[in-house]
Amino acid sequence: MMTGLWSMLAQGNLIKKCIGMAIFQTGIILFFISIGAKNDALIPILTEGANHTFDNPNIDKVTNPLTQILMLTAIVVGVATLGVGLALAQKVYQQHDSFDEDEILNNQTK
Amino acid sequence: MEEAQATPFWIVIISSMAAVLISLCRRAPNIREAIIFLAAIIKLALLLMLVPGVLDGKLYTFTLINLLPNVGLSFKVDGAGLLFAFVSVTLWIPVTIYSIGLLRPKNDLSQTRFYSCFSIAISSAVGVAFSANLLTMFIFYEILSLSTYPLVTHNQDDEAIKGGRKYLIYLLTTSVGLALPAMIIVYQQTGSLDFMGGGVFKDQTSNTLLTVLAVMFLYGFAKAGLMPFHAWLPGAMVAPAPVSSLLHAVAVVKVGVFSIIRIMTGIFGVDKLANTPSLTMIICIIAGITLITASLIALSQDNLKARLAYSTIGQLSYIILGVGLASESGIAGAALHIPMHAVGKITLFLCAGAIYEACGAKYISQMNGIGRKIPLTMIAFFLGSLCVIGLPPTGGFISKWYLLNGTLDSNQQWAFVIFLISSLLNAAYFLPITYKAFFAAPSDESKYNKASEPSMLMVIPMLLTATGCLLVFFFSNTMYQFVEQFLNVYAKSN
Amino acid sequence: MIKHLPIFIVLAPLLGAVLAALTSWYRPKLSFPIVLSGLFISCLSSFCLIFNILNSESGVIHYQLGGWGDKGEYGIVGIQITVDYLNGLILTAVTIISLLTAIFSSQSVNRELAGQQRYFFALFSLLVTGLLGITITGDIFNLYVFMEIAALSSYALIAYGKGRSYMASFNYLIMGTMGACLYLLGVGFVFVKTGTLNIENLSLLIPQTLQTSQTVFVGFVLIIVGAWAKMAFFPMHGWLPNAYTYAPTASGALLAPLATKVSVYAMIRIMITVYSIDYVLKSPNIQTAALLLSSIAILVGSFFSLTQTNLRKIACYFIVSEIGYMVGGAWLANDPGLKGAVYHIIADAAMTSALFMVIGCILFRTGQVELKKLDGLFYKMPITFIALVITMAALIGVPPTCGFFSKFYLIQGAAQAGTWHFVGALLISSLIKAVILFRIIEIGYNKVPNPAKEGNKTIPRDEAPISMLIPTLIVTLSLIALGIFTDTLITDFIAKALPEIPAP
Repeated sequence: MMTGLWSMLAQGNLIKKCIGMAIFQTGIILFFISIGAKNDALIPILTEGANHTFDNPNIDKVTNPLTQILMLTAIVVGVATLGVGLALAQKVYQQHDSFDEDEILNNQTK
Repeated sequence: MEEAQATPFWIVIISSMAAVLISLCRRAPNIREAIIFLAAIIKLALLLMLVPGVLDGKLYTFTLINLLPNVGLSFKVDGAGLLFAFVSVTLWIPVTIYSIGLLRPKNDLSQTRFYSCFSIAISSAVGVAFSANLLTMFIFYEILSLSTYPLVTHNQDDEAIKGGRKYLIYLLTTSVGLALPAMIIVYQQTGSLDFMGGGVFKDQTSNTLLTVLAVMFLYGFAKAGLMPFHAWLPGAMVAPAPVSSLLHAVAVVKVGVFSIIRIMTGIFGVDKLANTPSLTMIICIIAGITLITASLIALSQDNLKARLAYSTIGQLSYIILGVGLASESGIAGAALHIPMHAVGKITLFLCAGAIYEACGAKYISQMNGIGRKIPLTMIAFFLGSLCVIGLPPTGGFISKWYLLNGTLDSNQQWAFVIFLISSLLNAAYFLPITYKAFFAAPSDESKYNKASEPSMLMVIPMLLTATGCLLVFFFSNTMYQFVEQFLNVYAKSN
Repeated sequence: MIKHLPIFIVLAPLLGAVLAALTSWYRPKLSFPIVLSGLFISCLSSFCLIFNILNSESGVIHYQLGGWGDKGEYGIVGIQITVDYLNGLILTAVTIISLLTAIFSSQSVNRELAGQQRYFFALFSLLVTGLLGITITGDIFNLYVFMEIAALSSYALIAYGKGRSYMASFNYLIMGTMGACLYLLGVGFVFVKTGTLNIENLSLLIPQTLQTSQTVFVGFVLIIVGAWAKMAFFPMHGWLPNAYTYAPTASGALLAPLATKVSVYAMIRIMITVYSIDYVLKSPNIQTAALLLSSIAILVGSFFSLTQTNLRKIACYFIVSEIGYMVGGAWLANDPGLKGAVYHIIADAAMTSALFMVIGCILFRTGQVELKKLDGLFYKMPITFIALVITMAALIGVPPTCGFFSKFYLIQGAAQAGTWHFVGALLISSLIKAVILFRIIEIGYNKVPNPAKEGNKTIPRDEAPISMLIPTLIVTLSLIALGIFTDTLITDFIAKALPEIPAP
């Protein structure tokens, strides 16, 4: 996560910023998943072998489904953000022929 | 005896409504000016309706809407407020006549703006006079600053813009930077902003806090022209003569001192003032220094309007010093000095404008011998200066009498001396002007050969106000009745 | 019907966005009316809702999405919509302003973005959905989702501005995503300890049982810092001026007043409802830091606005300083301070909206808003100019406009808390705004264009089109109306929205 945050803020290259953003988001997703994880637990889907029914689930044997659902949403959000970010970076590249922040800044003030 | 009645509200609002109508009548100057007179007369009539009640000791109150918990946009009419409102509205009429005489022949393009801003300014001056609490007063005070800005920059040349900039910067900086926080501190300390006899502070409020607040208020209402926040006043003299006269001799500056009188009597309370020597001391020192310094500066000014401006600064300090004395006759003198000085100074400013129109003379050194060309103007000027100096039979004598009495009542002999010195200085900078105008030989004989009295529309208002200087002397007793009612409410509460 | 009111507020603009995008394939002209009607329904339902709240005893309305709800010992399950006085008020403000902005922007969008109107309005509607969602939701994860919906559409809206707006938008994206990620991380920390995401559940758990938990505290800090990044609070304000300056007129007029204010609302909601004022007061280090940062934000915003020559940039730096007002007011954590902060959210939304609309009008007619080139504006566009002066007066805090009363409460709160640097910052920023107003007046009013000086009485009038002028005037006049009805607003809404805070 820290790697992602650092490269988002400190890197001068727009693409590296985007990658940093993706790393940061993935880090958070893993963090959430780790909250929901339990030893020996299976995916939260009702199956024959898991030895529990809908009304009486064997809670110890399934991971917390809530965090997983949340992260599905977060992944969608993350992908969308990354897409917009890359599209913008591409537009900037078309304009300035560069991904470097300082160069772009020089171009703009010219 | 309080009585709820909407009349005060209508009195305040009527000239603002007139302003709207005026701005609609851009193309019909006659109708436009008829509206002004109509509004002034209605306003005056409504004021007169309140007079008997107020003299009976009634307080008319009206709350339009609550703005903050416990604090509303409310009005309260007492003697001093009524007197002040009366003076500003009455003087509005001659000044309007004068402006018509001055601006119409010039085909001035912005006359409509001039008259509408003027009406709004009168509205807000009366609003300050009738405010029942600090917040209402502050609101009208700010509206006054903003509505007079277009008047100050009326000519829209570089000099006017510069003067206007100074005007707004001084007035807004002080009111936002000092008066507003002071007001909020008062609200936070006491939970109330109402003007009450005896003040709003509890007994245990520390003297240091009171003194700091007093200083913040004194400088915060910079319209009162206390040094070192006085420089806007000479700067604003670039405005046309009617503006300088009504606004900078009557409405604007008097609103400043009136606000200070209100705060000192209604927020701090006269008893508190009298029992807190550090408080009165600081007020008296600030006012006293301004008084003497301004008079000395006035003596050295050659530009007539600048001399008048500095004289105004000095005279305003009379009023504040009167409040600082914290004795009954001191406050009475202060309240009376508002109308007395107003009539005197307005005459002087109108004359200065007329002299400039008639002879093109801005500087006193150019005025030798002009008295023979424009005798009526100079006679009016003479009466006006008598009133400001404070010689009988003009009104200034009465208010100075009370002020001097006040110094003795509160045992401040040094203030007595200051008043006397300053009056001598007043005489020293005003009387030579008239003397030279009539008796000195003109430096350049041919220059003023063609000079003659300005148009009657300008002369008549001057003569009217000059007569006013005499009238207030003879009717001073009636005026004192108003002030007495005010004192009954605020100064004699305990 | 009445029961489902709360969801209509969010659903109407969302459907509007989807329908506008779909119908645009064969009838591009339909998209604007669809979006407009969606916003109108949303506006109407928010009005009904606020009246319902006024009439209800508890002052809170709950709505369970998908029929989940209170499950006894597990607390509230599923996403819940909660509307009380606080967000009811802000919902109304958001819907009104977005409706007016939509009407306002139709002309300028037609000119600036010819051929792309339909996508623009779909995004416009989506942004409003996101903002309303942030305000209305009762679930902290749902809040994150709406935050990102709003953010994604605003990146696109800004990038419509072409030229420098791409880079500005990219910077905004980086900052915004960072803020959102920090927020999400904070939510994760809170979830670990409490096992719930519902604001109501959290408000029962955290203040009572988890006062001292380190994990919850870290979550608090992360959430607050995330919200700060979203609202362009100093020192994370760098993206805002460029983003809003280079955006198209219509995007600026919608984003500037609403996007940052809604984040401020989210912060206040987290502070007072989720964590409670006691909690805030018990973490004095953050309080001191937040107040100091607010003062710096106010000063930095004001001083930078003084150095700018472009009216739009000036307005953007105003936003930076106004954010300082609100964050500072909230972190004073006393009664007048919080009242001032909430009141200022409403007041500042109206002020900024008016300011950007006026700038939009000027841009539409003259094509630029360089301060120097505005000479004689009063004579060309008198109504616009008067609106500009009133708006500036409100920003300065001239009574009886709303800016005065928010400042009154904020200063009162600061005086009560003894935070004098905040008082000083407020006053200095007022004065700086006053200086800028003088400059505008001197250039726009006192520099008379030539025809007037030569005695030509007819100075050519070139007022903005009526569809832009009317929304501008409504918002401008509302500044005065808000000021006059301060007492009603404070005692009937804001005081009820805030928890009781005993005076020290």
